[in-house]
Amino acid sequence: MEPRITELASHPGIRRRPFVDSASLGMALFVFTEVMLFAGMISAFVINQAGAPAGNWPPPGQPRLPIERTGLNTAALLASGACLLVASRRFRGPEPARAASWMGAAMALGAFFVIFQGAEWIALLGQGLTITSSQMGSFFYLIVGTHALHAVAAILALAMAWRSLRAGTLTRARLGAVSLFWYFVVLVWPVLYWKVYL
Amino acid sequence: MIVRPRGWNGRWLAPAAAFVLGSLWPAWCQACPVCFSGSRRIRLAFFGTTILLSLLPLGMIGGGLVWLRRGAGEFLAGEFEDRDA
Repeated sequence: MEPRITELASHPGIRRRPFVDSASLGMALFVFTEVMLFAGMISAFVINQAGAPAGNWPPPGQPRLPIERTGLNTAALLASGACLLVASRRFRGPEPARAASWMGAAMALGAFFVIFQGAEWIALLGQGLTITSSQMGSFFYLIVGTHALHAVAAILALAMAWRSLRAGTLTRARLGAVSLFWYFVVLVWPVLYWKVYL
Repeated sequence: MIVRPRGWNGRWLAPAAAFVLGSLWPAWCQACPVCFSGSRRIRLAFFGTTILLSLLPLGMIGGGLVWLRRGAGEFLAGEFEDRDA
């Protein structure tokens, strides 16, 4: 669906297309603030980690974070972003309905990521890493939990967009806004993985 | 004429003044855990994150402006359409 064209009130007869649709602009501003939120949390974590004695991270008595398995999960999330990219291109093509399967794949991989993270959390809690067990635990659950919350919200938004696509009512603007949110969730994760896990 | 906020009767003046004076008491206000640390690692981390948090928003704003500039020429060419076209 093409962007909405409005007639200028000051110049009747002249029609104007918005350069950026409102949904994408609003989402871009939201993502801007979210980037700063995660940058702030990562900064606090890095300073805190630097305060630990050399070679003393994770703190004594705390488990090592599952780097390999989470790496695999990271690949699943990146694949999810790629699926949504393909879905967006299909949607702009001659048969927008063909985007549904790719969008479904993006949602499934995103859901896999969240469920896998939940399973990792349960394992870590069992090993003694809780939000109050150490500063590492506090930062880990705060940062990764905030990201998981965003992932769940983005998956719900994707699910609503997918439903609209199946009903034939999905607009390009709405898909653009939802995609922007999902790309943010996908692209911020490797940074978190690098700083928190590695 | 001095316009006072509605409901202002001056009873908050003493607590507000006490708060301001208290916040000027540096020996009691060591909110920053880094400033008094002699550790080189912490100072480097603090320096790096300060740069990150300073430049990241500027970079994002700059990136948005570059994107606008690149897209504006193409967009403006087809922005206005005659109603009957």
